[in-house]
Amino acid sequence: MSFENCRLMLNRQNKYEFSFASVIGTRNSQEDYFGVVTSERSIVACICDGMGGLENGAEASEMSVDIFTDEISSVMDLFSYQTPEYYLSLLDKMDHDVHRIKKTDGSKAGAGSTLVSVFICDGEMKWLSVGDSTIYLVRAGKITRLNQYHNYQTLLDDKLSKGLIDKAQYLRESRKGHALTGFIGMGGISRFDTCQVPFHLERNDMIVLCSDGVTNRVSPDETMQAVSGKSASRAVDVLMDLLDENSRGKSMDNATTVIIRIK
Amino acid sequence: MSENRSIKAKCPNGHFYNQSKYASCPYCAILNLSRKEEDVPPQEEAASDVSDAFVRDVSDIRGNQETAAEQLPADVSVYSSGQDDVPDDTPEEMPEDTPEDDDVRTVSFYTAESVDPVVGWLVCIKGKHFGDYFELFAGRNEIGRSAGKDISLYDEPSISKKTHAVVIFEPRHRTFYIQAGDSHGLTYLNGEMIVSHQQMIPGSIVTLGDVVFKFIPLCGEDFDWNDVETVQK
Repeated sequence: MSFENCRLMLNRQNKYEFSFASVIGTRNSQEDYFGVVTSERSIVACICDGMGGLENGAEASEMSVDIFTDEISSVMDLFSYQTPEYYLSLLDKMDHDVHRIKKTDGSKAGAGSTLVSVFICDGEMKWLSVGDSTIYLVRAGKITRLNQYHNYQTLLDDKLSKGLIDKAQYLRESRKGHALTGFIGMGGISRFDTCQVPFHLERNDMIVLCSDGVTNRVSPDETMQAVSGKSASRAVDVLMDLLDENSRGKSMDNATTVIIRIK
Repeated sequence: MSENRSIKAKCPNGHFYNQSKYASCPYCAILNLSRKEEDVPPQEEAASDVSDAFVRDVSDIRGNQETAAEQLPADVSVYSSGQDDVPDDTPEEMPEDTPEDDDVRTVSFYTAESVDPVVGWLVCIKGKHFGDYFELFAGRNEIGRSAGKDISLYDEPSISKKTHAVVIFEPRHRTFYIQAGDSHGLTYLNGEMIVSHQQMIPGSIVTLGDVVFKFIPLCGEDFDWNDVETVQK
């Protein structure tokens, strides 16, 4: 088998076990791109989901992963250097170049991509996210989504909880809830999600990154059941088999997952 | 979640199939491809052994791979997938190209063209949503009680959770139809029960359970969104 939509920069390390999978689903093109970089002490993983409703989605996600992995590989083990300010400057670089992607006729493509990424070093983790892909932590039979989604649905949820809209309007507007309010390529990052302090990891923690092709068909509880207590490779197997099962007779988006297990 | 373990193998012609179900590649059999050599079975992994990862076809992994070692480290493994991935169905059930019209594409919140323009409304004239309006869009508009419906009447017990009815705007002929859903609840158009689908004219009265709507179209013979230029916000 071959993965043409990934960038792997791997050096030998044995603290973290990881696996990945990426399927095209029923779409005409693969617009997910993912990357993994490892060093002796660290592992960094990312998934970029090119926006299919905009032009040049595949180019946007590949460019995003390329810039991301290039930049992060030079500061892999400098964990304290990786502040929110550094992550924002990384996002700005990606956003700047993706925003300038042109169509074949020379006009601006208006391309975009999401990003979810985790940075793990010496048992501690930071994350960085823009858009609606997902970072889960699975620990002791519980699953938690670590990142916030930057989409209209999140805005609507907030407005409803504050009583600014009523439920009928909320449900009506939710039809457009998938539209992104933050993505790489916007021409200025207005929203991103990162953690202020490093997250301490425990043995057998599973970090699950996935694009919305997975989360649209597999619920958080199903994901937890699929990956808990398994090796990274087995977890990816079971998760993707479940995605396949849940997609029977339906259309399926590009779906990508990277799973890291803390040994 | 299925407890069966599917053992994916790759045949010499590049097809992936479930080796726990088929002795040899079922796709080659359909396509009448000759076997070049024995199919390569993957290594079995003990499910309980979490210390050794499962390594498959490591040398096949392409992409801009930069490694310090000759091959991937032993703790890296990949799911045999990609464009060649096939489901575990029998070959006869292999899915054909499925239409993508029900796919939701990720769009920017800030782009005017990404918003579907309204094509009409159902205005509630009897029921808990009295005086409220519900927008209709091109294509199918599913009406039901559950939250995922295009028109969700979440607090009307006489409305089915499953699709109670569907209002369709067919853009080529600029025509509206109403169709009964696949639920127990009944659908009436101007007092007549709908079985399959009926065309709707302006001012039609639609009754679903205890809820009554008046249908007000925007698009029709004298107006359609294709007639006007798209204006950027």
